[in-house]
Amino acid sequence: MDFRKFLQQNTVYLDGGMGTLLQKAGLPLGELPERWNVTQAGEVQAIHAAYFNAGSHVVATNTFGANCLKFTENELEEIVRAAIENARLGAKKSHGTQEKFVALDIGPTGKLLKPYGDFEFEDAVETFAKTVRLGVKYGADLVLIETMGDSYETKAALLAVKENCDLPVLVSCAYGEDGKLMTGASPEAMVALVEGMGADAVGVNCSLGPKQMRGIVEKLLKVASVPVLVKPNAGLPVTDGKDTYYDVTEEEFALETAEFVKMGARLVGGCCGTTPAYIEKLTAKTKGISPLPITDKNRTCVSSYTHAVAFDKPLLIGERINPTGKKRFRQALAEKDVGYILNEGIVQQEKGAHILDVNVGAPDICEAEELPRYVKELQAVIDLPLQIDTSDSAAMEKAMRLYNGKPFVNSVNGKRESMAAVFPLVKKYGGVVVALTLDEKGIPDTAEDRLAIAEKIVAEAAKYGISKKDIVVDPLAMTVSADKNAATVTLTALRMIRQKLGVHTSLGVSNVSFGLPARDTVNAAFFALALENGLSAAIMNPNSVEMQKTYYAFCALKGLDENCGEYIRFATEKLPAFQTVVQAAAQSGNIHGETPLQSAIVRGLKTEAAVACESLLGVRSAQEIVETEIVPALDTVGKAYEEKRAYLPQLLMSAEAAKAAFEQIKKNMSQAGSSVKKCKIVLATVKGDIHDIGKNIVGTLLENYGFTVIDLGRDIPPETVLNAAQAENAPIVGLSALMTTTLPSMAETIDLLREKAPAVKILVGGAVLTEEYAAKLGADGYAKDGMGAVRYAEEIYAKIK
Amino acid sequence: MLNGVFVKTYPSSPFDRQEILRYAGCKNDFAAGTALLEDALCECEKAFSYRVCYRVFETEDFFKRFQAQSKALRKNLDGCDYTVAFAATVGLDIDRLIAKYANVSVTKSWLFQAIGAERIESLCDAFCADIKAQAKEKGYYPRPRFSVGYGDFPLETQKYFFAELDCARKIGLTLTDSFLMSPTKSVTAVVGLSKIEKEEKTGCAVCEKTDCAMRRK
Repeated sequence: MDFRKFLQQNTVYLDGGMGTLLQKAGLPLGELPERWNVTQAGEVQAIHAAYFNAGSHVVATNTFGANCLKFTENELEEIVRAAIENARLGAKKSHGTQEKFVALDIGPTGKLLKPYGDFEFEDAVETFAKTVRLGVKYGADLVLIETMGDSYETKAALLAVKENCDLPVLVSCAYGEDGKLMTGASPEAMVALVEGMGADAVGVNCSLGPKQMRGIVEKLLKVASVPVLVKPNAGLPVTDGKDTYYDVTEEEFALETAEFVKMGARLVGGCCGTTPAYIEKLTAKTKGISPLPITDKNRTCVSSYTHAVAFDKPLLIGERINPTGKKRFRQALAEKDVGYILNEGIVQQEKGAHILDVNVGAPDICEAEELPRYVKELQAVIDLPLQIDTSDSAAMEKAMRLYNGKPFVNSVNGKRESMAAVFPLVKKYGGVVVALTLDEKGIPDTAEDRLAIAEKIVAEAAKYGISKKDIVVDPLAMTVSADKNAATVTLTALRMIRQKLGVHTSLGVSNVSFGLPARDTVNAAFFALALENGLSAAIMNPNSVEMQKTYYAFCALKGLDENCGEYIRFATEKLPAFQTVVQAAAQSGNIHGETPLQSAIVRGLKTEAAVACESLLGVRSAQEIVETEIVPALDTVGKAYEEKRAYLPQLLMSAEAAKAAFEQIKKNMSQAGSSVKKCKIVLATVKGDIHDIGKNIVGTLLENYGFTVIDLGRDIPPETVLNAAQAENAPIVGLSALMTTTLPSMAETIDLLREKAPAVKILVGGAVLTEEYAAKLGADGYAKDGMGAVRYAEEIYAKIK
Repeated sequence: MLNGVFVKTYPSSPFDRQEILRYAGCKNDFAAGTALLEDALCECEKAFSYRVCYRVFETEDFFKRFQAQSKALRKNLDGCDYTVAFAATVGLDIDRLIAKYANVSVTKSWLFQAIGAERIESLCDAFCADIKAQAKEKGYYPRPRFSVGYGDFPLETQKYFFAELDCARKIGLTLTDSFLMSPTKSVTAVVGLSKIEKEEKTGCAVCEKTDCAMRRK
């Protein structure tokens, strides 16, 4: 029987633990259990047969760790082949007339993906793909991805299955006692991710016993529109000093797991510590329970690597990561100033945005390169779902592919060409897509015609298997100063689309006020009207206090805010912060004859330094401010640090204050287009090393002293360092390594630079380095700390200037 | 003695502000830093999950399995019938905070790394206190914990810790190809158990590098 059909109609019994049974059969500690498929096939077959005898419909092959990281390709093939054969023979040997299926079992690789580990996403996909292709070749009926502890690795595995076969695929994760994956994802986030990508079931296994799993199972059942899988451990391992055993008995296990079946779980089995006896008890206990129907929960939601954001109340989508009309942002993009762009994201998160729109489209920017890059960078530090905003479908695909979560995409429209390009991506990568109500004929003038386009888009999406819950219609906010009826048409369209088509909606709210003074006033009023007419999500500026006021007041007034709690928090905590007018730094004291800016920097006061610098910019040149204010102040602190009169955090606080002052100068300069820079310096933490705080400190200090820092990041291969040094024509390269095991890769980088770019001066630093060792590696300089790096760079700059 | 890998989770313990400042490179408090530290502590309070996995070996079996040649370790484990190998982590969120603030406030990023260092040390202390209590019941005394990377105990030994303790599955701790751990605020170490009670000198007291900036007074 077809497994999918079988799953639709039945409670599916899975098998139980494998590892402990193999150990009982004599698997020595330290031997890889997958090898037993080949060397002790009979033992493996006997375990499978025992599970089928206990009533399992599905057994998972003994291939948990069968991947090309652990085995050569030849051995891997032999293992997978034998494993599937063993399961088949187990089925044959077993009595019982139930349906029997063989699932190719896929466990995690044990490696952490980038950015926090060293495993590339695409390498993970390919690793899983190799196992999947073998599973298909040797005839598995379905795939079980299980015990996953990381959302990103789960996505890689699921993508590998989807790209290589049409087999049914069940996806199960191991949650901790805190109800989250090891890397932070909630059950709701995992449901959004795997359901979006077309998994046939979503579930939980391992780590916990049935009792501790209950909360997670409830959450899964509440949000999942696909069948839910549950495979608890037989409790937790305990010891009596001699033997180790699991603390939940067969009877207890069956009782508690039967509860999950009553609640609606459709695939049940056991994990660590469970045996055929557990499964037998479980099948007996649940025989009379008829399976609950699988219902579409009709949730529109997107997710990040930690949480899902559902469209069950109005949402704020931060619009600030977008170069349109922003000179400073365009400059940051051109200079690959990742820090500036990340900061735009972080500030919006602090201001309460639920989702961040990411648009890096500008002339001279290759979106297919830059958009995925910024999505990765943003996801390293911000846990909000991102809206991938581009009209370049190559960029869209790359960004969706490596996005960690269920992506939000902006946008598709009613043009044939647009739908043909975007819908296959939404289907494959499981996104929610914004649909603009325009087509080949342009933007319709009437609400009815915009509804008609929305209907057309939804109908076309259905042909790709995309449900309307995954479409958010944007009926387009037009400029009211150009057409007095513009806002009314949009509002009417909103209401009609919401009521007649029953889909969620979004709007780029601020378009409405284009060309008008005091735009925030108009935007906020329009926002309130739009919300009342059914707006689900606003793409807006989270820094706008008027918009925020409208949002919180609306939610309170419409009964969307229990006890007005959110509103009260906004009004008492957030609002005052919004309205704090930054006090002039003149008040920040004038000790030791320092000017306000100098004083602010020496004392490490960011805001004061920015304000003081801004006020100086009106009367003095940028260069003068840098030379007579910022550098002397930095030197005061730098010297104090070198003489051990100041601590590192004090030095860093001053560096930040100086950075805030520089930011004012930059803003000013990007208007004037001038520059006061010393030479360029390429910085990198060498390949294999993932510690980079020291390098970051060095980078901040160097920037303060006027150097242009090209920070390549961490775990950087020698060639990348060389390419950057050559492309940027940088006279200095700074390398950092923290561990003895990464020194060889520092030596390699130095050798390559010496050979291909002999003029470059190489400065090294890091915890394991000493002056002598640096010389031995062939570096030109060694810096024991950030100030040391500054002194070295100044020395070199003085020579080449 | 025991068979298999065990997992222990711990509740949050109070922060030791003096220790954090020491890790941050401050010998004493300073007003502006203290305010920033409080701010950082508030922000990361819920960022930690305290997990340890461990396994008990007969000492000779340990040396075989971990292919440990280290003389310093031999000395440390001298007279120990059993060796507890453990891996501890406070989770990935603190790494995320360190990375996030690298772009926003490098001072805060630095403080988060100091907080992470204090957290993982205090987790190891808590675990070792448990081991001490358990061992005592059976008439054993623990030796000071000894980590990979100490003296001539090479970093490459990490791969045996990860193979024997199943760290990725048990506590979400992974190893890179260059033997670095991720999450970074993690420790692997061994604790020898001996029937003979010995004076317990630990930490800075046993270290020969007396001019270290981090040395405790």
